[in-house]
Formats: sequence, C-alpha cells, structure tokens
Amino acid sequence: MSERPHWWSGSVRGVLLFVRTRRLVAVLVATVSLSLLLGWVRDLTVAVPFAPDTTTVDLYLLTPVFVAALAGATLGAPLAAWEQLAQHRMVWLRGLHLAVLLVAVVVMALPVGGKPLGELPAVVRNGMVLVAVVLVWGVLIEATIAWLTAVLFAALCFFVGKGGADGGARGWALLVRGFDAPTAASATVLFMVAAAIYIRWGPQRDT
Amino acid sequence: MRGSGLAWPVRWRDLVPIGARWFWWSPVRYFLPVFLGIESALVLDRGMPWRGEWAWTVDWPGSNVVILGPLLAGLAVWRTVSVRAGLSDSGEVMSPSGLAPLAELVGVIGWAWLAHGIAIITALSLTWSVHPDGVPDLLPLLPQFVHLAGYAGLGALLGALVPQPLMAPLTAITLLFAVTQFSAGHFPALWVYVGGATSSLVGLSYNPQVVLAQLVLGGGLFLLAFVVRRGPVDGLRVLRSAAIACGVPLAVAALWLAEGPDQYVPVASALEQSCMGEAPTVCVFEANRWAGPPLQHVFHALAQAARAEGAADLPARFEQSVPGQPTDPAVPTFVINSGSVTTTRADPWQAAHYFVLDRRCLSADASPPGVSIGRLQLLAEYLVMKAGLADAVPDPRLSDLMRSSPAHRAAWVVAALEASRQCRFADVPTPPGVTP
Repeated sequence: MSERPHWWSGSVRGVLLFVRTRRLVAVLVATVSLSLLLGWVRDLTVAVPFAPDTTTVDLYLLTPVFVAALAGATLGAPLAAWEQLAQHRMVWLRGLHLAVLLVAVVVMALPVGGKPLGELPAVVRNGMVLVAVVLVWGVLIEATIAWLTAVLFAALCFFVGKGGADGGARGWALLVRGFDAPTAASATVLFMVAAAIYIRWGPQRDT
Repeated sequence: MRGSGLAWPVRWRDLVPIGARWFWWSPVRYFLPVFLGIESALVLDRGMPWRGEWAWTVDWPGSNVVILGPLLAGLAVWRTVSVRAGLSDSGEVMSPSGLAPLAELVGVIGWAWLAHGIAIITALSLTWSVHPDGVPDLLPLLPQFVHLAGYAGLGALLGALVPQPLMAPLTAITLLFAVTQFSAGHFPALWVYVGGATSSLVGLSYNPQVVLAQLVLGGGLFLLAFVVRRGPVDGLRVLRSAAIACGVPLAVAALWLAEGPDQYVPVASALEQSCMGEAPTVCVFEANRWAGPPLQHVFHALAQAARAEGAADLPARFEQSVPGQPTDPAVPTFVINSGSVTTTRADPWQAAHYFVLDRRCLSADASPPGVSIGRLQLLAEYLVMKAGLADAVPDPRLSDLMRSSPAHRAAWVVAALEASRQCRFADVPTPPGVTP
C-alpha cells in the first residue's frame, strides 16, 4: 500500500509556495504579524520627539523601515525573475501596493496596540518615504542592498535628527517630524513624485 | 569576489596579500563614503566639547559603534548571503577550512575600521590643534574596533545560518531597534556601549573588568562566525570544540555584563592632589594639573566678588573629588565635568555652582529644597556677573535683584553663603527685590 501524504501536507506546501511566489502576500503576513506584536509589546518602546507621550519608535519608525526593507527584498529576491514571468508588475506598482498595504496594516495594528489614531498620518508618511527611498535606490544602484538606505535614514533620523535647536526634530529628519510640519509633508510629496517619475521613466534595472 | 577561493593548507605568509585582495576588492569599499558620513555626522553632531581633552577625544567616536555596528552586521549578512548564492550558482566550492567567512569579513570589517580610524584621527587632530596637555592613551580604542568586528562576525554568522536575502535588513533593523532599547534601559547597556566618555577629568576611568568582558563579547562574536557551520562539514568535532571554546566565555561575559557592573572606577591619579594659588587654594588631581590654574582663577574671582559684598568666612581651600568617593569633611569639594575646563579657561557657571552650594551638605537626608536651590542659583549668577567672568544672564530675577539697594544685596549674599556653608538650606533668605 503506497504511503500517501496527509491531506494537509499538500495544503501547507501550497500555502508556502503561494507566499513564496507572491512576495506582497508575504509582506502582508509579516508586517501584520510584526505590527500586532509591537502593538502588544508596548513596554519596549522609546519616545521620538514629535509626541513624546504617545509616539514611540516601534510603530513610527520600525514598522515603516520593516515595510521598506521588504519592498527592497521584492526587488532583489531570488524569485524575482520567476515572478516577472508569472505576473508582470512594474516596480512602482509594487511600491504603490506596499504603501497601500502600510495604511491597512497600521489601521489594523493601532486599535490592538492602543495607539492613538491621531498620529496615523505620520506613520503612513514614514512608510511612503522609506518605500520611495528603497525603490529608487534599488533601481539606481543595487537591489539587494536597497534596504540599507531605509535603515540608515531611519537611524540617522532617530539618533541625530532629534537634535533640533528647540529640542525638536531637525528639518531634514522627516521621519521624526510631526505630520503637521508643512516642510516635511511637502518634502514627502516631492520625494514620492520624483521617485515615481524616475522609476517609471528612468533606466530599468533588476525589476 | 576575487581571490576568495582558497584551498587548504594555506601558508600564513600568503594570507597577507590574499587578505589585501579580499579587502581591496570587497564591494563594501563602495560604502566607505557612507561610513564616513555616519561617523562625521555622529562625531560633529553634538558639537566639539571634547576638544582639549585627549581621553574624551578618544572616547567620543566610540559612541558611533552602536549605530555603525548594526549596519555592519546587516552588510556582513548581505555579503555572506550574496557570496553563498554566487558560489552555489557557479559550482565553486569554498574551502571548508574556516577561511570562507574571513574572505567577506576582511572586506566588511576592513572598510569599517578604515572609516572609524579616519574619524578618530580627525578628532585627535582637532584636539591636537588646541595644544592640550599630555599625550592620548589609545588603549580605549581597542574595544571599539573589536566590537565593530563582533557586529560583523554576528552578521556573518546569521548570514551563514539563515542564508536568505531578507536576513540582512532584518539583522540591521533588529540590532538598531535593540540599541534604542538599550538606551532606554530595557537591556544591558554594557553589551553595546564601548565609548562615550571616560570622565577622566572627573577622576574616573573604564573598569578594566568591564572592558575585558566587552572584548570577550566582541571577540567571541567575531570568532563564532568561523566555527559555527550549517549542514555537514569536515572536521565537525573540531568546530564544535572551537564553538564551545568561543561560546562559553562569550556567554559568561554577556551574563556578567547584564548584571550591570560599574562601568567606571576611580583612577589612581585621583588619589594624589596638586594644589595651587591662594584665597582660595584649589587642588585638582595630579592628572588634571593643567586644569588647576584656570579653575583657581575663577574661584579666586568669585571669592573676591563675595568679599566685596562683605562675606568674610570663605573657604580657604577647594578640592576636586571623585563622585561617590569619600572626601575630607573639612574641605569643600568640586567636580570637574568633561568639557567644563580647558588649559586657558574654566566654565564660571560650574565653578560658581560649587562655590555657593557646599557639596558636603548634599545627602539624601539633607538635600536642599527646590526653592533654596533656585536662590543659590541666583546667587551664583550674581557672583559670576560681579566677578566679571561672564555677561549677565537673561534671568528676570537677576534684573529684580539688581534693582534693590546695594546694602540689601550685600546682606543677602552674606546670609545666603553662610546658610549654605552651615547646611541650613531652609535658611537661605529670599533675594531682595525678588518675588518669593
């Protein structure tokens, strides 16, 4: 009698294959998991300056950096070529998906973690900036190391960008500025537009 | 990567040119400007108060390690994963002798060390330009470089164990997030902080036991990358023994550092005092002898200003003390904080603080109430201004005080100083003309 695999074995493998070949699904699963985890583990938080009582490094910097790193991973993933054959998607479209994804994730994570919804735009803004940075870098230089720009920018914003003259954030430190800061919002929009233009019409590499 | 494929045995003398090639052709060389940018931003961001003090200058770039290190770990993962993927594609087999991680680590660590070295040399040059006393002690640099190697080793280890591209950003992000938690006190800070301030002027130095444990921690992480393997390898028993040899001291060091031993201990030179000047005589640690004249000048000017107001019973001597260490109860003491004194100038505000607030009176049982601290702070501002040591501060209380009659001000100065000397802080009177 031939030994047949359990009925769920094929299902699990199917799910794993589905996730591995659809990085956006993996992004969704991983990001939701991380956001929920960080939402629960609220003791492990460090305040960033724009709302010292409520704004913490986990949700406002870590989640966007993680999403951006995942966005970078989709560029240089070993299965990227396979994905291109299976479903042709342009880089900027992936970035758009990730930005939308970030909004959904944060909306889901905030009530669980008890964070105030008032800071939500700043979190989304951070995610959009970092995803744009990673996508541009991935097209410009090297996809497999694109995550470094997001991590580096977030680190500099957190460790150096908080040293403004009045104890607040510095002008260039977009990630630790409040969403109501007009220069930060303008810079974010400009950056996203520039990224979209360059990625859409610039030289295409490793997409 | 060129030159990374090696067959064992390799002659040791061949390792130098091979290592040079590993270093020079590593793709990490393109990140030198990034490393230098990080180092420059972090070194110069908080100003240059360390100029003029060799020990502080050497320590200052050490705080960059906590940020550069996680990025280095991510880069090490990236290189390890990239090379493994490349080798498996081409069918080339890396030598199982343990040199495979070294090929990548030489590039990652080498370029990071170069950037860190440039930052340190730049900082030392800036300090040298103001002609400080003595020569720098470069030994505190050792933990900085070893920890950078440790971060890279940890990255190479993780990259070898989990050879996935996503491991690189995950490693960097996790370690950076951990650093933010260290700074918040959620995890042992001594695992990561290998610099910042020796506080040599205060009379403290790094605890040698802590430094040794940190060296074991960084060195152990670096070596683990060579002895931990994934999958079947040759010489597994040897590797396991080596892993235990690295892992056990590493774990012991990490556990001991987690208990939070004192990072600083009093230096031997703090036991010897060098005294100078009169009215008052100022004594500093022998190692800080150069700081004595500017400090004595400030204390003398403050004493003269107080005497001009009528204060007679002023201390004849001030001694530098080590925080937390016993002092002569008959002599008022002061602490020199890093950045507060150079060979030519002492910060008058800090000296005035110790002049008006007798540290002998400070204890948990007799700490002065906040209102008295505020009055003594105003007294310090007044004396600094009267001594001509600094311009008037924009304190509205000082303006109110100056509008009162000179006789009232003098009486207040005498009464406030006397109350402070006798540890009767509650008796420090309200300044004339100032609303209580």
